[in-house]
Amino acid sequence: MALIGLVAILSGCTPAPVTSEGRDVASLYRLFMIAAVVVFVIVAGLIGWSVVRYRAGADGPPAQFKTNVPLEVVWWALPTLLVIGLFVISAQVLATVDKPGNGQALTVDVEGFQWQWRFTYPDSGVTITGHLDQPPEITLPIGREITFVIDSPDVIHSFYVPEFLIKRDAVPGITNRVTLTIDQAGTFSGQCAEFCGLLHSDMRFSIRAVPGAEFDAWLQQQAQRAAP
Amino acid sequence: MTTTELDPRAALPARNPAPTGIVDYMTTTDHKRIGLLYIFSGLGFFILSGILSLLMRAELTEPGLQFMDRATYNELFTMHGTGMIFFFAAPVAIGLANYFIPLQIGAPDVAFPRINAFSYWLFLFGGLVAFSGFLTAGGAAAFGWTGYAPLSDGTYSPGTGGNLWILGLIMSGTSGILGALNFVATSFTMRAPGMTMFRLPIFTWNILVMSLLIMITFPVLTSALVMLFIDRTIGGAFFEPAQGGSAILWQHLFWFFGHPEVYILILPFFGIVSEIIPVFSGKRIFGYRGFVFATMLIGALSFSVWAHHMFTTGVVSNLFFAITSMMIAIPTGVKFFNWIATMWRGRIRFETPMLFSIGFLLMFLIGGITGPFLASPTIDYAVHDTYYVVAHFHYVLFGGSVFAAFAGFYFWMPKMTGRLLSERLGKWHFWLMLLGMNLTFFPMHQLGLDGMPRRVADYPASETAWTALNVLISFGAAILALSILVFAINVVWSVFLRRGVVAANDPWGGYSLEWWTTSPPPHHNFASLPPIRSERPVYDFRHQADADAPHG
Amino acid sequence: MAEELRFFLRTGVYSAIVGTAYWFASYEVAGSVLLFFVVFAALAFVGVAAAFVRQARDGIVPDGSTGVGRVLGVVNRLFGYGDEPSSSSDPLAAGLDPVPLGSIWPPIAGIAALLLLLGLLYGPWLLLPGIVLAAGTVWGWVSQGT
Repeated sequence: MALIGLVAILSGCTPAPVTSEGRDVASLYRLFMIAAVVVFVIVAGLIGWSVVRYRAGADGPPAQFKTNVPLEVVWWALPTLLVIGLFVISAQVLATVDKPGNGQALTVDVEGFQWQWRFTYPDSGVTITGHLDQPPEITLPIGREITFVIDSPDVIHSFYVPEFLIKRDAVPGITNRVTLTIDQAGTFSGQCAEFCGLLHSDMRFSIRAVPGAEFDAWLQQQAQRAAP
Repeated sequence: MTTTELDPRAALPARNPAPTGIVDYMTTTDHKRIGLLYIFSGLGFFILSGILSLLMRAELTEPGLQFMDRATYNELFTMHGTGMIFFFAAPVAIGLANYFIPLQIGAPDVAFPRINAFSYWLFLFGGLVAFSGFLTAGGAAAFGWTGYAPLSDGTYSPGTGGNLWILGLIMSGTSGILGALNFVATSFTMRAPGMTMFRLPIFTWNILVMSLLIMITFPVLTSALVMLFIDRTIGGAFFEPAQGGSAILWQHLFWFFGHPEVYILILPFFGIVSEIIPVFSGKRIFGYRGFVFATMLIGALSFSVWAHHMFTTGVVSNLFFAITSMMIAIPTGVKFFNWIATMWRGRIRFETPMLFSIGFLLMFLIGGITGPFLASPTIDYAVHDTYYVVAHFHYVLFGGSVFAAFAGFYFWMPKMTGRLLSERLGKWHFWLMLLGMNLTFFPMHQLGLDGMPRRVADYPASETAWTALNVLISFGAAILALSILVFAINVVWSVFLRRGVVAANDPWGGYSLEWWTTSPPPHHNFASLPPIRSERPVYDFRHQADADAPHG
Repeated sequence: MAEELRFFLRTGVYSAIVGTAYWFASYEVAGSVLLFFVVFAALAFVGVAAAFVRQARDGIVPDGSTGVGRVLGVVNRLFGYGDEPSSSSDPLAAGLDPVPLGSIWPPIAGIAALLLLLGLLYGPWLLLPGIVLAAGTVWGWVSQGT
């Protein structure tokens, strides 16, 4: 019963991914989850069986066996094989998620500061700065690579959007890049994930993902509003 | 005490006769009293840090701020983590090691008794100094127990609380180093004749590996803390990027200590359940050498996994740390098989110590399984610094260390105090704690996947799923608090009010040498020792006596 | 080689291998320095443990002796001067040896450390008594003997 409950709750798993990289991560998570459930069922099952089957009864003292080398070899080998498999798949997904952009990517500078975010579209000079009472909302195109260039002027923050299944730290003195492609329209909220002081919990923002044409119109409108 | 009688046990007083006033405890160099001081001080910090977590749960039950401001919340989670890790889990492990290592190896005391006492006082004063930040005008440290720079430096976290935090940790770190040296010297040089290294009880072995980790990594932490102190007080810039320092350097130094620290906090508790499971299964530990080797492998591997805490910083070799971190799962998995094979075809008795050990196996299993998830860099990108991580390490440290610590208390309290804890209250304690623990920490997995970051005082009411889970978690935390209250009542009733059943020398049918002497042991521990021909001399002696008895 | 020494040596060898691999995988300085610090520390422990283990095996210090006497025994062993007292390996001799005396100096040393560290924070009015107390503790600790 508890086991079924466990599987049910955990396989609820990640939020539905809205980026192509996020889909790979979600599949990887599901794969790990399957391995985890198998391992849990086997190990917890063995524990449960021992507890139920071998409770002390009237029968005599148990055999005092010391070890069993073939058995030990098997149980060193099994987790080793599992770990190698999980590592190889993890490495493949890491390569897709951490890949550099294709050169056509839209660049968005993300600056985390105490305690809000500033988003800049360097190609068009548009800047959106968040305020505590008014978190920033930015618009991004779907179906196009976007590179976030992330840094911080003060302490460490972390750029995190749950639906993207990714976060990257904004570290003072270091410029980090994340490239991804949003493939689903919608509004997604994000917030700072690395504790950054008093108002850390208020560093929220939201991202509105729209089709390319709509994005271009929005960007132009923003640029015009900024120009005069 | 220079005469040797034929049966020296007859010469021993039945109980430790010395009345024990506060001065006796102040000036003691007896490893057993120092062990008790460590354990009960550690439990004091456990209750203090636990109260801090209950206050946090009260605040998080609903969105919005009800009971405190953000600054207070930040102090609470900082001191909760600091207290639990530096002033509860490690000191309780060191306290039990203090009490039982000399007993398990057949020695009269530790190698350096006065240094041992000194290390206790350093730990106690260190804890009081760190927590005294609450009494200062600016409040206690509020940058998380990891103290990430540059948030923790004088620019972004001014105030005395942060400095007191550093000084307290330096004191407790020094105390840990002295304690570890003592354990190594004791178990290397003071073993009774016949007690070879590969006849050491598993608990002693695990303490040895823990001591090795402490001796190598605590100096790294202390150095980092001194650097931070210089940054904060006299204008250094080790960790201040604006002046040419490096924010990432702190993370390297901290986690180079911090990840082995996790094993420092779990290996002693592996040791405890490895003592209890064989005794209550009526068998010997399965695959002793493989088990010891797995412990040593965990110790060695722990030096090469630190930067899996830094995957999202974008400046570490994620592949390297992914493979080394996942490898930890191998020796840990092997330990599970050893524990199961020890129970297999045994005659298992379900007294409270064994219940907590089985609870440990199941809870630590869940915490262990979520480990490889976090070792996979892209999954970590998604769940790092969310409640998923909080769930993971509470299954490891609460489901693992705390369950095993309580197993150890129920197992060894009769040896330490001469009174058994109440089985009836013990079972209430166990079932309440198991229920409370899962209600508290299991929903945190989902909360983290849904995107709730850790270390936030507040969350938006628009995230209705978060609210529902937080209500459940706070309810679970209340049950956990109740279970700890049952334990406290049990200790007061059974030990301090002396209502518990009087313990014989060996109430459980134990294996290792501590069960040979009286409960509690006399000042010099042993008046005689059985022959030591395996890792469980007391068992051998008992069964030799059975075999020698005339038949029919 | 005794297990006591291999215990440290294994960690040193592992860290040497991993440290080398890490350097060439990342060219990252802080972690590489730390891993080779582990190698250094482990080898240093092998050296110290060798002295302790030989001392215990050869019975240079009587069983049950503690504290300063034990350290002096190691110093004797390392630098090769001084008498080498004999000892019995009778387990009961260890058990019935005088237990360590109580001592007021450990808590006083703790207070001295407390004053010294808080003095760094609050100023000389704590630092100076700390220094005096620390000096007194060293004197008291050593002269108490075991």
